[in-house]
Amino acid sequence: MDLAVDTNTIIYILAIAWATIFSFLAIKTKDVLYSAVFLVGMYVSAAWALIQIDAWFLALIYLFVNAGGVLVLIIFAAMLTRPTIDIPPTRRISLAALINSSLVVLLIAILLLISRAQLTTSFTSNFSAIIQFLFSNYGISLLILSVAVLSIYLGAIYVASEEK
Amino acid sequence: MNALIALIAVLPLFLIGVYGILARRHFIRIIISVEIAMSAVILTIGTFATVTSSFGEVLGVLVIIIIALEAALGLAIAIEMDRTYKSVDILEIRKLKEETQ
Repeated sequence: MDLAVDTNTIIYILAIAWATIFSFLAIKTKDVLYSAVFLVGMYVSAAWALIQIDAWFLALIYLFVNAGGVLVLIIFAAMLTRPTIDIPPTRRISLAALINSSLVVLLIAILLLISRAQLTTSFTSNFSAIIQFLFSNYGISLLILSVAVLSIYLGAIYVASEEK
Repeated sequence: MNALIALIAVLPLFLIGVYGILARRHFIRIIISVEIAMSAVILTIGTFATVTSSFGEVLGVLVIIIIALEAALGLAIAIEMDRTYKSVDILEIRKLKEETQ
């Protein structure tokens, strides 16, 4: 198996490493608002990694939806709930959870060992191909997903509203 | 780029997310951990989009939408939880529920 590392790969790994550091800080910090700040760093680093492999369309959507939408929701939720710095940061991880995690890691390791896919270097996001794919091959799925999106957002508004 | 390298690079990000889900008690922080783990999934899908072309990216976009939905619903539940139980600590809420039963 060829494991030659070129400049693109090094930059990709660097971006993922930044994302990992930011996500670790987001988990470890005590204040949820600081977690949200570190989460921005994680989103930007992950989008950088996606751009590095020329999946720029996915990177843009990822950045718009997460850094633009989900992050604002997290900040609002953190502001609307009680200050929670006093909550102890960890709870005991059960043996079953550890065994399950180990099994997942083992499964991923086996999949990695048997995978020999070489990623193409000539790939770049094709906007018209994606749109054609979405609105022809996956038209019905997109329609069902749109209805689900609408109903789930309405459900979220109903759950969060004070007077039911 | 080799798929093996790309996947090994993403693995720590996923594991940090899983650790956060298992070890944290604060409900919003658990949602943040789910976001982190799902970011690793999106990066994996993005990596394989370079092999499968448009299909991989379409799948990635759909996954991003579903993650946004999950976050919206989860955070709404967090607000409701805070209103009902005066806390977002999941262990404390479990204790309160056991006491009331």
